[in-house]
Amino acid sequence: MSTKSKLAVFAAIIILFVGSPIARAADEQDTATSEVAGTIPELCQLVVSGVGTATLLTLAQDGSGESAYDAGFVESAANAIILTVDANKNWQLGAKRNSWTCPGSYDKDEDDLTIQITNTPTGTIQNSFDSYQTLTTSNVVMISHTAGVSNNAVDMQVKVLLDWTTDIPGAYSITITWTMETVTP
Amino acid sequence: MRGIVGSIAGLALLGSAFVVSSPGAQDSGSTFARLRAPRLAQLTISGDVSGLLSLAQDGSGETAFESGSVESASDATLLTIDGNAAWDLSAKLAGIWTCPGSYDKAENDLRIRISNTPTGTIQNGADSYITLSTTDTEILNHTGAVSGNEAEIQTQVLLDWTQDIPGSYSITVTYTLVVHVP
Repeated sequence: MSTKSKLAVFAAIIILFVGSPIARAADEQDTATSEVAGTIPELCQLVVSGVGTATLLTLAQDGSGESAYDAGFVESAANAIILTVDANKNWQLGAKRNSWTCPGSYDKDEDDLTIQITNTPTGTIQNSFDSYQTLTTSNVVMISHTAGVSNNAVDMQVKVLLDWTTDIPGAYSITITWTMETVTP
Repeated sequence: MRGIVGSIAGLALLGSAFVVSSPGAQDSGSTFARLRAPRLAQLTISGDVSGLLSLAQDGSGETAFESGSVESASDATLLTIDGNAAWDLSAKLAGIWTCPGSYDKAENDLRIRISNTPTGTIQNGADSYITLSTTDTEILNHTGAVSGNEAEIQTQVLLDWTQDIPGSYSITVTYTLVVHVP
């Protein structure tokens, strides 16, 4: 084999082993996609906690009972009821009541029940609920806000007016319904 | 393998050169086959997380927001990997969130993790939830070939009562399998 031929063979080998695109296989890749999606609805949440007011009218003889009647009312702790609200858009929190259940045929005045917000939660107090207000059987907005909120605690205080001359002994009850709702501005 | 294939091809070429330079009349023919398999990669995806954020009122929605996230099943996305050489599996965001209105949900609210133990070595802590960017993040690799290797992907989306307003959301994850020189 001539020197020229040897060189040609050598060059061919070099090309095969080093430079040829055939000799150097390309990396190979494959792809796939995954869509993460969905529609988040309007959401809100209301959690009621605190010591509550179920025994607010359970008064003691020779003690809290007489004092309350003399004062003209009995009052819960400022945070006896804690309303914790969450929402992912504008929201409002309201309250309504039913009627008193009273002893015998007595019909205690529903306006003897008053409530107020005692802290400064996120939102705007509505209908003057930063002071004691009466309720009706229709929902009344107490606080509202123009955006979502998380773990927003609204402290509620409850007061019941008492009168020596009308509030006879016996079992009394009335229920407050709290309503949290998202709203469209 | 590459060396063997190269040698076969080279010897064949030498044979051809020898035939060309041989003296005398001959009626001869020569044939050779190049036995070169290319690098091959196949990535198959199954499963569906396109409804992960379709939450329910008075149920899964409030629960998810309260816990701060919504999570797919651990094997909601199944990646099946085939490769005839060393390989890498990576993931990236194809884009940003599509959100309702002008809201711009943080891309880091999307997190994924490999929830099983497939063949290969987990990369970049992807056996726990990791965030992604618009460039590839390697999540699994292996130094050899593999067939029918299943990587289970779990997806989590962080949720915030104060930010994640109602509406339609979507974001796409691109998974890439590359077969390469070890």
